[in-house]
Amino acid sequence: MSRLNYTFQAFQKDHFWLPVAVMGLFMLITLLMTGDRQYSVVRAFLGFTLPLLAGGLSAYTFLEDSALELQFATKRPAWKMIAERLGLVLFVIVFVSLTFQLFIQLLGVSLSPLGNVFQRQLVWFVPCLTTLVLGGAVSLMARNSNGGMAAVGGLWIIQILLRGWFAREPVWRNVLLFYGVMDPLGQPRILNQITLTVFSLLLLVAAHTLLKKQERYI
Amino acid sequence: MIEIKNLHKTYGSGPKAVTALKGIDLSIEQGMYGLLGPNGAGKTTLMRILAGIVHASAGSVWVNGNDMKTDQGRRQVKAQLGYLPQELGLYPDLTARQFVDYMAILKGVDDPQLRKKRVQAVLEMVSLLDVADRKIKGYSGGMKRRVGIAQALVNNPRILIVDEPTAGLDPEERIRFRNLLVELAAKRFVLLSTHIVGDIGQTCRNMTVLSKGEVRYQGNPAELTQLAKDHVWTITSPDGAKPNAGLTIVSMQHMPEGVNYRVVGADVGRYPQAVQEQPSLEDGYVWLMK
Repeated sequence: MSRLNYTFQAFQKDHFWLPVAVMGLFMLITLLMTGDRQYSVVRAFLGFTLPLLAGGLSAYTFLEDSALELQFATKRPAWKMIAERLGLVLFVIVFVSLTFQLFIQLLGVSLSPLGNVFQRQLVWFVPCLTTLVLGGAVSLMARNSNGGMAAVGGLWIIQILLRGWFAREPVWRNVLLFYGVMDPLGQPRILNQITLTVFSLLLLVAAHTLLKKQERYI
Repeated sequence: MIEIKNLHKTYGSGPKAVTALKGIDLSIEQGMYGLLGPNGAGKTTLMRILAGIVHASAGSVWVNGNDMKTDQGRRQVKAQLGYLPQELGLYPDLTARQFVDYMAILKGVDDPQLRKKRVQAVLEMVSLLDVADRKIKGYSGGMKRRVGIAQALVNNPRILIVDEPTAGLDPEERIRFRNLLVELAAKRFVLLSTHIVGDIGQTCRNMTVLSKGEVRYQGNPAELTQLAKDHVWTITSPDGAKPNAGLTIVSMQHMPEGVNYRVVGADVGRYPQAVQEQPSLEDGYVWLMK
C-alpha cells in the first residue's frame, strides 16, 4: 500500500486533478441542462470523454518519471510496474466515473437507456481500458509520451468524426470505441466489447515486452 | 567476483550505429575498484550493463556468479545492488525520508521496522537527518546527490555501483563520502566511476582507464602514476608564453617570476629551464591518454 501511495504522490498526483476537473465541468453542464439534454451530457462524459482522459493520462505514466533509471535498477519485474502505473490511472478513472454516476443519480437523471447497472459500466469501462493500454503501449513503442498521446488523440478524433460509418460497417464497428454508448442495448455491442478487450490484452502484452527493454528509455 | 569477457556494446544499427564498448576484458575482486576515462569513454554504459539495465551486444558478464545475459541473473544482481546513476533523477514532491523509504520498498526491504531503521541509518550516514522531512525540491544540488547516495545504500547492497558520486559535493562532503565508500568496500564490491582522478587515487586499490570504448590501462593507481616517471616537468615562462604543442599542460600558476607550467611530455629539450617533478596520478593519466 505504501508503494502505491508513494507512486501516486511521486508523479501521478497531477493525473488525479485533470479528470476531476473535467468531471466537475460536466457536472456543471448537467446542472445547467434539462430533460433529455442531461442524458446526452452524461453519455458524452462516460462514453466519449472518459476514454480520451484514460488514454491521455496513461501515455504520460511511464516515461515522465524523473527517477526511471533508479526504478530500473531495482529487481521489480516489468509486469509489476505496468500493473502499478496503469492500475493507478484506471483507479482514478473508475473513481471519477462512479462519482459522476452517483451525482447523476442524485440529480434524478435516469441511466436506464444505457442498460442495467452492469451494462452501463461496460459502456465506459471497456473503451477506457483500450485507450488506457493503447496510450501506455504506444508511448513505450515510440519512446515518447507525446507519441502515446498522439495515438490516442488521433484514434479518438478519427472515430468521433467517422463514428456513423464505423457503426454501420459490420466489421469495423467492432473496433469503434464508442459503439457501446451508441448502441448500449444492441446485440453487436457484445462482440464490440469482446474485440476491444482482446485488443487491450494484446497491447498489454506488447507493453510488457517493450518495458522489459529498459535501455530504450534511459 | 565480477568477470567481463570480450564485452561489446553497440547502440542502434546500420550507419547510425554507435559502438560504446569494444571487447572489454575485466576481472574485479571484492573491494573498491575505480573506472576512469574521458566523456564518451563508455564508463556509464559499462556501469549500466553491470547494473542490469543495459544488455551487452556480445561477450559475457558474470556478477557474483550470475550471468547478466539472463533475466534471472539480472534480477539476482539487482536484488543485491546499490546504484547511483550519473544523471540522478528524484521526485521533488517527496521528502528525503519518503524517497529513500520508497526506494527501499522497490528494492524489496519489506519489513517496515527494518526499513525504518535502514532509512534512518543511511540518512544519518549522509548527514541529512535534520532536513529529512523537507521536500526534495527545496534541496541544493549537493543535498540531492546525498539523497541519491542514501537510496543506493538503503538495502545494504553487496554490490555498489556509483557513477560520478562526488559531483556537486563540497570538499568536506567529498572527503566524507570517499571515506564512507572505502569503509563499505571492506565487505562489498564498490565500483566507482569518475572524472576526478584524485577520488580514485585516494580510494581504489585497482582501477581501469577506458577510452573510446577500450581498456587503456588496468592495474593499480601507483603503477599508473609511475607511467609518467621522467615525463613531468615544471617550466617557468617569464613572458607567459605557453610551452609547445608536444607538451600537455597539466596546471599553470602565475608567479612573480612568470608563469609556472606543469607539463607532461617526452621531450623538453627546447626548455633548458625545465625542472623534473615527481609524477602524480593525474600526470600518469595524462601521459597515458596522450
